[in-house]
Amino acid sequence: MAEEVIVLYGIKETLDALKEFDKDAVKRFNKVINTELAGAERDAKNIIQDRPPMSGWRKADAAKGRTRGGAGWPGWDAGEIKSKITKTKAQGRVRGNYTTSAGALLNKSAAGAIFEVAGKKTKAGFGGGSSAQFLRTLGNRFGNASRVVWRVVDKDRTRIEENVARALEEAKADLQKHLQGERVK
Amino acid sequence: MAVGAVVARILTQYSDKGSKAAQKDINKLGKNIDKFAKKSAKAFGVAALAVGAFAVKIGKDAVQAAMEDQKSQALLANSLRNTVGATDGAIAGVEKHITALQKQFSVVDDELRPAFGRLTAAFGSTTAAQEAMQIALDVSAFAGVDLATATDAIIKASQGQYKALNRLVPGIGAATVATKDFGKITDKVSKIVGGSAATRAGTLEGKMNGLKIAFGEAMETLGYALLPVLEKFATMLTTQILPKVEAFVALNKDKLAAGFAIAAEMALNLLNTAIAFSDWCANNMGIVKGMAILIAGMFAVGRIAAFVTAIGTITTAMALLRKTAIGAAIANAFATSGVSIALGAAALAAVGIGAFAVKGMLEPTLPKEGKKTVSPRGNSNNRDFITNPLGPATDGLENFTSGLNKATAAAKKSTDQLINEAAAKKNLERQKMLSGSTSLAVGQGGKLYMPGGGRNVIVNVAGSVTTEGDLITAIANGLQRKGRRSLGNTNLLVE
Repeated sequence: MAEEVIVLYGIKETLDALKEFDKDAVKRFNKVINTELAGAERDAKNIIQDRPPMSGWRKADAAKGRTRGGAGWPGWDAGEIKSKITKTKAQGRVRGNYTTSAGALLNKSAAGAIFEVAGKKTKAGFGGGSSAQFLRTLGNRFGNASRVVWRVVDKDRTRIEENVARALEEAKADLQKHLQGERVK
Repeated sequence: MAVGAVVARILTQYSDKGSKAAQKDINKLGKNIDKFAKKSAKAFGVAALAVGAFAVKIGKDAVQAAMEDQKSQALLANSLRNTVGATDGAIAGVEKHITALQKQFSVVDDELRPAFGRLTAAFGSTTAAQEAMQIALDVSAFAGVDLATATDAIIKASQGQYKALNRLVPGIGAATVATKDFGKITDKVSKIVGGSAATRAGTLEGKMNGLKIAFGEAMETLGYALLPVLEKFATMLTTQILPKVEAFVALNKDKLAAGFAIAAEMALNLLNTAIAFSDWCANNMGIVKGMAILIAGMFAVGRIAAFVTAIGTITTAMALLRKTAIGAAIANAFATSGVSIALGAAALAAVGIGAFAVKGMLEPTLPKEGKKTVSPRGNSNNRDFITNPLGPATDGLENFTSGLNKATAAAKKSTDQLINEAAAKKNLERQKMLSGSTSLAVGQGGKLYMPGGGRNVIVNVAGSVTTEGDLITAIANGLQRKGRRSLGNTNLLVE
């Protein structure tokens, strides 16, 4: 996950003001964001395989049992996992540094979330337990945690941010032109 | 949405929501702090006032308690000395005993001391008084009366009057009383009321009394610490300060009285003068205005030095005029003496300057513009009182300068005329003098006239002359030289 992010200033204010003058410019900006987010969403969905990551990961939810594949363990339904990988522009909870999301990818399915973050906190040890083996196998095959949406974001964030920032600057420039035009009148 | 959805933020934007919330929180915190500060200030202020008042009260009460305690001790000591001839050691022992009783039975020493003093006087010994005191304390507790009443009853009983004691302690019995034996009666009383004082001291009321007594003792202790300071101050006040004040008043009472009278008279005169001055100002508003304008203008433009110089010039000029005389004397000075010429010119110039200066002062130019207001006395005739004197003052100074220039020019012109007239007059006198004798005369232009229309002689007097003699000498020398050159060895007589 990238440590540095570009914080965009004035998206809401720019778009609100620009709506009054040039709705097409607003649409152009939104199209840039939507395109970038859609591409990321598509890349994330492409990571999901139809076949379960491991042979023991059943495709249907387990009916009973407490171990992996037992009761409560979500089945690997690739269609559901993909369908629940979505993009959003909803503002999230404001963090301490007064920033929020202007665009994000969500991985909402249980199986997809397990595949995404398994081993992020609990590292695979050298024990012979099933959990350790699960993490080791998952890591060996698909890499460390952040395997779906975060992988896409880490890979494409810089490009997406730059594209959106450029679009935002263009929108601001459009707004400035309109404001100057109003002033001339 | 399933629980635990993974959110991967791609785009991050700044939000003022958090900052607004933080600002709101900070403002709220600030308001709370302000409220707390105000409440704290009030609380601390009240507390400080309370502490201060309490401290004052403690100090006052402590001193009061100490004074009363000291007074009580002194009275008991005096009583013991008078009745049984007690020594200081015995008195200290009694005080120690009273202190012990106070702590044991929770009875204040201010009650114990008078009772002990009276018992000592009644029984003639401190030992007997101590025994009787114990009985009195028990009777007091038993009967629920104060110690003084119980003590009176015992004293009366010792004197054969048992009624009061029998009333306080009903169980004595008529038979015991009938014996009229004070020893038996007190034994009986002791049996009845013995331990009552200790019992009362053990109750809650007694303990509370003991607490009050302990607090009072602490106050007395504090007061005893403060008393020396107050005593020292009172002593100094009475022995040092008051006598000196009294002595000063005694020595200077007449002067003080006269001083007060003079002060009152001066105040009255000042008031009358002020009233008169005010009336004069009201009646002479024109002069007041002129002077005010001139003075204000001088102060405003910094011409005080010029004014002083002008005054000094006038004074000098008048002094010179007095010395050299006016009119013909000045003319003579021009004609006869170089020094007098200079002095005369200066005098005339000074007179002219002074005249114009005084004229300028006495006839100030009224302002063209200025804010008018009602005079302080409300006189409608004085509604043109000027409150903005700078403009008129400037005009006055311009007139003053113009007057100086005119005076200088007039003085110069006058000087030239006087010089010419005086010189012509003197020349005529000399010609007249020469025409009647063989002497030569000096005319304007330096021509030499000979009697009978003889040769003309031109006389040039070079250099400066300071006296008439020098002038004559210079002319004579010139004539001698001229005569030797043109007339040969002609002997010219010069007078």
